[in-house]
Amino acid sequence: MRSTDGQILRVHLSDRKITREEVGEGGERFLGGRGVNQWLLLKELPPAASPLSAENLLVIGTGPLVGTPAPAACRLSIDSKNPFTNGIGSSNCGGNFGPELRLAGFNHVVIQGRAETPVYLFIDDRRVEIRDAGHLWGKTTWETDAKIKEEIGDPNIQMIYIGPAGEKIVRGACIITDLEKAAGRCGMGAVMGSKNLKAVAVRGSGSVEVPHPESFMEIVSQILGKLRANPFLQKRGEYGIYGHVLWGETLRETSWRNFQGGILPSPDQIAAIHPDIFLQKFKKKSISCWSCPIHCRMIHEIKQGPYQGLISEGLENNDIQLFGAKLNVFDPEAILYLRSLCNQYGLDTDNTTGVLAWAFECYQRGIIGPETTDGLELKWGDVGAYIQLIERMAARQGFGSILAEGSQRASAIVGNGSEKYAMHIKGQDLAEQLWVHKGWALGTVVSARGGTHTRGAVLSTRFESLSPELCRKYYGLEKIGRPNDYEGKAPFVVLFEKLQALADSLGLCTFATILWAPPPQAMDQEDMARLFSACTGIDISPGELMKIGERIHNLEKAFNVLHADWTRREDYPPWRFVEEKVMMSGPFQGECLSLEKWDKMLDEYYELHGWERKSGWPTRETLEKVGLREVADILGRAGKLPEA
Amino acid sequence: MICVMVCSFHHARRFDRKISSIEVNNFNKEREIQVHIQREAEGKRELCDECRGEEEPLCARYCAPQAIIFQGTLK
Repeated sequence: MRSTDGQILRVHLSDRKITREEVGEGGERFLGGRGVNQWLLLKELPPAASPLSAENLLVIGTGPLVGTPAPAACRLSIDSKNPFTNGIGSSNCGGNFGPELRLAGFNHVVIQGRAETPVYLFIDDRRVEIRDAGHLWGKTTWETDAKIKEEIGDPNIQMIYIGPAGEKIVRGACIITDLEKAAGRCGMGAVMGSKNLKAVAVRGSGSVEVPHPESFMEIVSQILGKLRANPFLQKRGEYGIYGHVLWGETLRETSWRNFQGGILPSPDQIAAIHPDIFLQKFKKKSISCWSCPIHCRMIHEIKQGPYQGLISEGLENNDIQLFGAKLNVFDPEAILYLRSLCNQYGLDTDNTTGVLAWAFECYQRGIIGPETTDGLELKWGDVGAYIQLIERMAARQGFGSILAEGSQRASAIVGNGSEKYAMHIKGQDLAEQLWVHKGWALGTVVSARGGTHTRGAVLSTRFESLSPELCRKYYGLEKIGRPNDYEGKAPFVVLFEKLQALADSLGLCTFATILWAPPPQAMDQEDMARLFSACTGIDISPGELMKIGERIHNLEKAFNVLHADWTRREDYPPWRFVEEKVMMSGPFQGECLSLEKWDKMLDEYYELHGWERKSGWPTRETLEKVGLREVADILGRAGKLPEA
Repeated sequence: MICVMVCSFHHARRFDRKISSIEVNNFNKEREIQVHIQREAEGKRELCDECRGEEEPLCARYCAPQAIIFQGTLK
């Protein structure tokens, strides 16, 4: 298969029909992965379609670099309508499923309809089967992994699957691959469960043909050399995705007890979650995704105590924030266990801890009591209570079924003032803390998929030591500025949004790019253009590639305007980051967001995108400029274009 | 998996794991990784010739987590 040749596999679960089609113009205009997935959704999904109805589509896609030796090109994008927000749902994972899918000859799989009974899909090169999954229903992700491998008789088969939470249509259910790699956010597991689809297994024996393999390998070699020399990435290889975060640094914001504190209050807490503890006490090894030199997937093993025997993969900085700071668990073994439990039940850790933290704060304030929680006492840091609630959420039992709705909907059910403590953006639970870093706050709040940092949020402190030359060259900025400066953050976020769209659509891991790793030893748009051109034989400049990134970002914005009715009013941070001065010490003591300054930053952000300030909507002129004339027509017919 | 791909590049100037002299199995629950290097041709799989004609064995040069290290030629 040439690198430009992959097909779309379309699986109609309702009538068990399987068809194939060419990617066609979608590939030229949106590259692949997230870009093409979103294009299919916008074209095919009516705005009235409910995310959990049979009408919704679940689109799985890889990028043109995936399946080749391009460094860090392993990513899979899973896209659908978001059960939290009604806007775009889009989630992304690494591993080996994406490459395997391409080697089977497919770039995208569109799942539509709903199977009458539980099924799983087996793609064995060009042979595609819908198989019974009755015996897998109710199984955890780990059990499902083992069972399907045994059934197919191939330990190397690649899969994505849901756990019991997805089957029960828990809104925060995720899709897991390779035991503990999650396409976490946006409830993609709930959508998959609503289709009665337990798993997709794939085995490919083909190859991706590259027109100029010699020059392609030369570029691969150069990029590999850069990434290996990057000190930030070296730390990731040593410590895993957790990295080497020192929580005692006063710069580090935390989400302590549902964002009631911005700094960890006790030195003992800080000491308990020190990265060296995980490194020295639990590290077994590190592994990498397909062709990735970073090998940040840390394997931790617990050798004694109540969680003895647990081997878990991929502890993240997020997990420390979520289970440690947010839920007040300062026991490293319990943190490893709780995150692994979520992965086994198929629950996204961001959404799960979000709704749990809401419940615990409500209990703390006397808004809810044991009569609401099925008699369970909710005391911060009580690991036993967290385990019980995670199990009840996944099974949708009692209070767990209310939690399964996410904090916004759960608070609407419970009432009694609990709505105030539901920390969400656009209906999806919030993981990020937003007091200090303005580029982080802006990127998170305006994120098209509903309040997440992986769509343009900038952690500018990571780039502070760049020289003015490098700063100009890579980010087009005169200086990075202080993290709490509002100035200069809007252009930074706009640039990151485009770059992220490119990485997700080419199939690259964001960690290998200048989005996360400080340049010059990281992949920038020039590297992406060189890789794409050598891989596909289609010459493209970095500027042209960035225009595609802008196109994809506008496409998603248009989907949200059309499907979720979002306007400027949705692009504001939750009250807590504006009203509560909970940065209790350090250089940013008392720091929070100013709505007046936020408004100015938002104006600048919309201006840079060519979106109307008043509504936040893209204009016809902008959509036409980025090559989305037909999208402008669709919005125009729906009365959702700003007046000229 | 990059080692598998670059091995096939050495043999045939394309990326095709069917012809690679290296097979990697790393998908069990304990995350044990098994690397099998073909010491004789078998089916479509080429014999490992320690990258004759290349500056150094490509699997060791490109191995993403630097798990494969070339220590010298077998007698």
